[in-house]
Amino acid sequence: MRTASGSAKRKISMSRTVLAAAAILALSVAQIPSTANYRALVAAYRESPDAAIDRILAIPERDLGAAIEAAARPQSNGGWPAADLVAAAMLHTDAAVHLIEHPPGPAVDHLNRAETLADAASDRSPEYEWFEREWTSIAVTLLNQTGSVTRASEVARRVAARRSPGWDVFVRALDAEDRAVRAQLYTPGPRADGNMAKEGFGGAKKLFEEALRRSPQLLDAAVHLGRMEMVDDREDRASAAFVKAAASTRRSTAYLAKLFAGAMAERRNAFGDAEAHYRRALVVAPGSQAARLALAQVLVRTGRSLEARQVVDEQLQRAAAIPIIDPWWVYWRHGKAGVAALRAEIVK
Amino acid sequence: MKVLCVLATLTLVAGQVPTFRSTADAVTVDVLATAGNRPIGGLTAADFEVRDNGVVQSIDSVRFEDVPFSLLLALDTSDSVKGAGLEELQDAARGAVATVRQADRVSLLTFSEALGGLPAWTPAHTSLADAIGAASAAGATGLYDAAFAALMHTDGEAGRRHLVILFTDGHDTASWLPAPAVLDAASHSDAVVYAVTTEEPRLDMTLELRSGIRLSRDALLVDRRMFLPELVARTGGDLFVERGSDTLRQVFERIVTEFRTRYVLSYRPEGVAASGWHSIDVRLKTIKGSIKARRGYQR
Repeated sequence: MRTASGSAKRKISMSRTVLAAAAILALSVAQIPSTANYRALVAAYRESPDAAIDRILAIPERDLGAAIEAAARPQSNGGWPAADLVAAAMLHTDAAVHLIEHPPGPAVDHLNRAETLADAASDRSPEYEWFEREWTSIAVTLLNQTGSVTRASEVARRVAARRSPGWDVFVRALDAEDRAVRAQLYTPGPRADGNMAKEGFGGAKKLFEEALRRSPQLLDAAVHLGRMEMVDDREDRASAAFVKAAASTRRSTAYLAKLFAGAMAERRNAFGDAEAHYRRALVVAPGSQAARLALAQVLVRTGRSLEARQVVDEQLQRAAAIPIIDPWWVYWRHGKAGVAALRAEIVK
Repeated sequence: MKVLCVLATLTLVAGQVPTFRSTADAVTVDVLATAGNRPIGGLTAADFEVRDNGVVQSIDSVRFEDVPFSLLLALDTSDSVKGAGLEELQDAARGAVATVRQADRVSLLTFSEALGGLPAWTPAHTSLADAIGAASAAGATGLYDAAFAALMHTDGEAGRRHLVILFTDGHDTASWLPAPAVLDAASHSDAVVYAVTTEEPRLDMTLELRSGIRLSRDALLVDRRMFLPELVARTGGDLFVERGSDTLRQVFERIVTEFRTRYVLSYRPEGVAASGWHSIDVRLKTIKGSIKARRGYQR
């Protein structure tokens, strides 16, 4: 088993697995260095990660250089789109994780490849800065585990220098949100707008707004801003932030935006809209638990308990078959969620 | 309580599992009658009074012991259960499974922030024991999400009663759904929830890591009701705060045994509105004792 979800992934529908396996088997060792076949391997990784990781580990690392160089070229010169580059970076990261857990092997080389690909993705589209940012925190940990302490520091410094202007403000805003929410205490009394003081929310909101002003592509900040506005009962502002965030290329950001938008619709008793938002969230992240429970809950509220039961049962069946990482679970662990969470952004 | 769309009167055919038979508007209520903490046996329809929205109803049938049930074990396997606590919990789960009868069925729901377990409804067999043994402890506590899923995950086989044993060693820290969503779902569910916890219930004082969503404008950000006592009261179950001399296994076994001593009352509502919230009030007419039954149902 290569990935944390390895054994369960094998239970994915037979047709999907067979297709992915066929794609990988079609790649002979001799063919691998070609860009086209390397790309097919990356595509297969998104469907069936374990088999693809096995395959990449079987290829001499030196043979991958040309294919990776071609992928990282500017798109006008045949390079890959950012979405494919980040998938490739995760494939090499998973290969490195396996080699660290089962030494010896060129783990650092795979991390170097991943860094090249993550850099290229971030250069290609500022919207993928999130990947480089979170990948870096993982890579630093992994490099330290290999004993490459100097290299780890170098990666951390280099990526820090490349961060968008809003990033540091965003990090401060996350801390402020965390402190503000944890500091709130239940306040007895008949407050109709919620029963918490919500003090300190203003500071965090200003920081999120500043982060977005400096880096409009930093749509993670829009989700967090929307949540704070939601808790603060500023419905219009919250909804506007969620609409903005829903356009993110990042799966977890788009998912959370739709999920929160559904809750906002429910608050307005717009149950049809809420259901539509939850279903859209499930399109973005089909295995996600929070969206499915939210959907079931709105079905109960609208008198469709039988459907609600089916939705919950479907979730339990999925959870029994495939380990799930719901983006909601990593909302509070920004950048510290580890390889599995980042993989969940990439693998279908 | 069951609001039965296609099922109503209980009939027991010799050699078969008892099943409900239909009328569209029948209501069943799962009732525990006790005197001094001991279940009262041998009661008939004449011993009960049932009011639906304050209107006395005519009880069609009373069944005792012979209705098979489906037990859902909903077990908190968050990080804090790790170690000896998990082993004790697994032992308790095995004890509950060993106490059910051949006609009964069991399903397992484990939860941290993530739901897991063995969702199929099965007789007590090896796969269930394996699933209990395979449970591991990690992660935060999505108690509200898990309680909602437990209420919704009912055995589809007709004529069964539903018992949920919900164990947690703490309080919610990570759910998407807020507590009122779960309590609302309890009004739509026919499951009886027995909650077992190792901590004295208290108000959730902070948002912690929960979503902070409010599903209606008049809802509160942090619910003022203590969650577990409210949940068991709404479903007609009970709450065990387990810090005493009994082992967790004894508590689980006692719950299953007690559940079997409950009565199932059936009536067709008369003189009340067809839709909306129906409060249910069950009393003993002919004997002194206490009653536990759900507070009502939503139609």
